[in-house]
Amino acid sequence: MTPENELLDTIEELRKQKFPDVPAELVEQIATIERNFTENRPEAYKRIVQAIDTHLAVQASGKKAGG
Amino acid sequence: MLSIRSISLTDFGPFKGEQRIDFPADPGVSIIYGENMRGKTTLLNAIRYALFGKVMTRGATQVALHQIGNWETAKDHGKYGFKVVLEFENEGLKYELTREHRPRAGVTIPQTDIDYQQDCFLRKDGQVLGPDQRDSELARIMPETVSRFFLFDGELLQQYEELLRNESDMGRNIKEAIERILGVPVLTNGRTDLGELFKDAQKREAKAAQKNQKTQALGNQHEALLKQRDGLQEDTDRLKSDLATLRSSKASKEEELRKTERTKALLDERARLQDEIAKAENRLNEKQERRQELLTDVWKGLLNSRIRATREGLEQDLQKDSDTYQRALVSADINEKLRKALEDGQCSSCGQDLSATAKGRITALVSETLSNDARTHLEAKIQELKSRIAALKQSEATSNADVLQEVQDAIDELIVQKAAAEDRLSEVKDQTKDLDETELRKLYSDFERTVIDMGILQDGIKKQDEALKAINENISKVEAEMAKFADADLDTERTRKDLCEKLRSLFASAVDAYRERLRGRVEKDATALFVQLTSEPEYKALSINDSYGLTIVHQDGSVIPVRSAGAEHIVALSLMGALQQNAPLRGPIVMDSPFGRLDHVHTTKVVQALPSMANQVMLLVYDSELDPKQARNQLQGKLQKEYRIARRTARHSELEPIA
Repeated sequence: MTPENELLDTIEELRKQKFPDVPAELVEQIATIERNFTENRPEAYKRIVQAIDTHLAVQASGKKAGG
Repeated sequence: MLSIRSISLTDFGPFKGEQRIDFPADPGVSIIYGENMRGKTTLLNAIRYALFGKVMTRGATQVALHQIGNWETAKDHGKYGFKVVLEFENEGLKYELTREHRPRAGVTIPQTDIDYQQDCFLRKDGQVLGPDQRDSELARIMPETVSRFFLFDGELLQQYEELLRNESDMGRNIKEAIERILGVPVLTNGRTDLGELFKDAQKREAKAAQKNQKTQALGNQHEALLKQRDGLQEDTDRLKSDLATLRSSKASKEEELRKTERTKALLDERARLQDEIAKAENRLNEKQERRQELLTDVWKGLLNSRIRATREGLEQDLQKDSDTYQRALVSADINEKLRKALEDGQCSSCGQDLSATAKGRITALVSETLSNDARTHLEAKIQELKSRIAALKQSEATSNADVLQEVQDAIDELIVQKAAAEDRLSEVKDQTKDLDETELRKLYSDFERTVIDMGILQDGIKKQDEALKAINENISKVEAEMAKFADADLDTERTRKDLCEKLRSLFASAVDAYRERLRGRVEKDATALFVQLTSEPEYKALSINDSYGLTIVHQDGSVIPVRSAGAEHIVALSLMGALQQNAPLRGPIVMDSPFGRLDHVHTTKVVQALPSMANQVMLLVYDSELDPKQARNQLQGKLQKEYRIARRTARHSELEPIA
């Protein structure tokens, strides 16, 4: 297993076990942002905010669509 | 993965003019040979300069950049400045990084760093990036915080032993760097960012609550508590930041102190010797005074035998006179009776008349006895004899040669002791004559002050954390009250808050879990490398602690508590290899003088293991550290390139490829 996969694998195992209702894609997206912008914290924060906003918006529109 | 293709240097340190080293794309080891003072460490610094704009000494202190330019170029051609161009590949893309220092306009002879201007640009696949993009790209490809695992000085490998000391701040700093290279900040930064987002979501929830009449009061209360908490948090963060600064400062002071240990020992020895000499002087003075006293009577020692004989003669006389005197006392009463009998002409006891014969005998007896005057005279004589004998005895006692000899021996010993201490003091003074003692004392006093300040800050942080815990409990209570009310906006913000909290908790849990996994993997990989590198067959494994410190484990399961400098190097190299294997970020290893503390067997084993430690390895070595023939035989196809740093003058070296 590559070091990158090891890290994602660790989070995924815990997600499944403790927070199965939190989407795996969102978690992986956040981890990837943090990895790509480890040395640029403001950019990482900005992108995570965007990712969560997008996720919540999609979720809200899904709820509306579902009635 | 970062892979260096070439380094071009212009007037950088001893490398006069433009010089270049090329590295092949294939994985393997390149070796640059150079004797001491030719520029091996400068080459390591050239890479560091290109990437981070810094040049470091072996003691990890930053060097003033205006000192870097080639001295001969400046002297002979009046040309100042220097440049490094680094060509490298990363993730299939080609980069060219140029960093240059040149005198500012109007400066003819630069004296300080301010007299120079720095230019740096990065081409990515032929396109020059803007400054922000350049910095961001470089920070991503090779963060300075982890550079110690790629560009390292063999002499500094023993620093990794600090990882075994939990209380050491240097160990803590190295641990942080290890976690950075292993990717732990992906999780710790995630935890922090999501924590901030959670707090932001709480504020949004408070605002939403304030908009609804039913929840307005709760919203206000919530907002007030959040502001209070933010204030507390800000103070706590400030204290923690101050503590981190102090930790870092303490770590560097520890390193400075370690370097001054020898100096401190010399200064302590100097103080001890000065004290010892002063004490010896005092004791010497005392003994000399005593000797002087003894010497005033010492002449008597020469007359001792005569005094003794005289005293013995006088004692005999005294004995005789005393006997006479005693007898005289005993017979005084009898004499009185005899005298009366002579006067009465008859015996005072029986009353018979004395015959003429008897009178004659008694007269003879009475005439032999001492008169009162004679007895008084004898008493005076006895007293005089006693006085003389006593005086002679005193003379004999005070002229005791043995005591004088003891005092003289003590004086001789003290003189020798004092002379030895003075000799040593002279040596120590010579060794410490150029020292800035004030600076050293200041260093020790600063260190103590730092430790005290850290203690104060730690207490403060503990109290702040307790206050934060209490306020968070209050916030949770208010949020639970708000949750009893149905409101669309409030629900939306609550969903956001819950999601952020779950994500934050998930990343927080992952930090510990990932660390645990990493420790297991690093321990396993370091052990595999260590067993390959060590020449001691009874050493079977390395055991890792929470700070990634590694301990050697014997085949009987016991740990080896103390290890040599050579063993320390082997363990540190094993850790380096394991980190490379487990790090998401990979790059070349550039080692400066890594074999200085290793014997031939260990050097051989390390050279054989190098290709497995990293894709690209550059060794900066001197011939006696690594024999070129030996290196070629061991590395064979893995040996990619060989260069030699050739001396032209003391300040001019050139890079020559070895055919």
